[in-house]
Amino acid sequence: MNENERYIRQVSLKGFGEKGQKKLATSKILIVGMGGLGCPALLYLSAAGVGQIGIADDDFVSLSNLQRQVLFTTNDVGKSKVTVARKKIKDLNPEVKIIAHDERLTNINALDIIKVYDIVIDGTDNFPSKYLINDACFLLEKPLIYGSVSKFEGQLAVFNVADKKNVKCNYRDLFPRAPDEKILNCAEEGVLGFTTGIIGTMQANEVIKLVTGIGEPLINQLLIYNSLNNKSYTLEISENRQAYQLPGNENEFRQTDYDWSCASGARIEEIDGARLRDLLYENETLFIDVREVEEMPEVDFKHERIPLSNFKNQIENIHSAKIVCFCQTGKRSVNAARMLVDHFGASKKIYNLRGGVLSLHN
Amino acid sequence: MIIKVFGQLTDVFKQENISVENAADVEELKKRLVDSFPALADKTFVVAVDKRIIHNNISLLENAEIALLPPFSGG
Repeated sequence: MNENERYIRQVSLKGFGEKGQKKLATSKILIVGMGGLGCPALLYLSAAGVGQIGIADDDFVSLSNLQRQVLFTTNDVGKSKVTVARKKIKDLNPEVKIIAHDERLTNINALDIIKVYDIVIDGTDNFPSKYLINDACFLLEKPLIYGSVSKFEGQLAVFNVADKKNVKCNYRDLFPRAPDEKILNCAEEGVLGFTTGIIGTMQANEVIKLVTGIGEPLINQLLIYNSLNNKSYTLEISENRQAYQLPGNENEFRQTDYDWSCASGARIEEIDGARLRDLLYENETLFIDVREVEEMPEVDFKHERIPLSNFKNQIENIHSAKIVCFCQTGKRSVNAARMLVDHFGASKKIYNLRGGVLSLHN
Repeated sequence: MIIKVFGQLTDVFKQENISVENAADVEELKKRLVDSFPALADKTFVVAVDKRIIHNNISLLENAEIALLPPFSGG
């Protein structure tokens, strides 16, 4: 390898060496989500010389991403995240093969995408994706490096890797089901770039340890890091199989609804801005802005504003046959859409604007 | 009995460490916490005792280290 000089500082580490470098060069890592966690993970894994890295995300760079998604610059706003990321990494280290999956992982495509890789990093920012990735990795027996943040704290764990007693835990052993709270973790919850940067970098570090066999990866353990006081807390996770049910095979997985466990037959249809414009011309369609009253920007089409905080009380007053919910980013409105589906079942058609109002202005 | 709380649960308790009277087991502790902090009833969380996530009701020693842990989903 002529690349020795590039990696000389890590190859010279005892325990890592040429052997470790070779292992990295032949490894295939998938990073799901090019956000605050995925960006630093991708940067460091590419710099370290991982052979092949898949990046999966269907989102576009927005100005409010830049404070923590350090791979992107102001000129990238509006561009596809995975396209920009692939270009940047080519400059950083042309030895790394980047596979851009310009799509959101779903029950239909997740298994085929994940299959090709050795290890998966979960850099997503929502519960449905986290459970979907967990279950897919469980089925395919792929090591999963889980990471998440909430305000100034972060969580990190390694799943689906056997410990010394041959026990393999997954995310559901920790939290069997996604929480059913009124306002799930809204994307608008504040976060500092440093917190996602630290956790994303730690996820990359766990990958390096698993691939090269050095150190002690966080197998069956959950680390919680608090960036305000630099304290960390590590907990042991044990199997809890009777508390949950996982899809038993690939077919079952493809038939599992990860958008939300909705009532039978009734489901939420995710739409983009173009489809929303089409729906404006269809009769009987009600557009509901579920943001709180003071939230901007205002949209330029006819709608009603029913803030999520008061949504449940207003459901009885909604009579249209087709309802489009939207908010700033498309996350809170999913919760409103879910309440509608729970209430009306399949008797009404429920849509959610993916990417929210921000996507309309891109 | 000192209880550490994480993530969004700090909004319920307004602090990271709370002190409560000793409880005999996890269920009693949860009940006592919900009585004092009703907002906890709507929250999803798991309990760790002496740094182990526990799935069933177990009895608690006087000096047990308790942690309440909600799921995080940001990224």
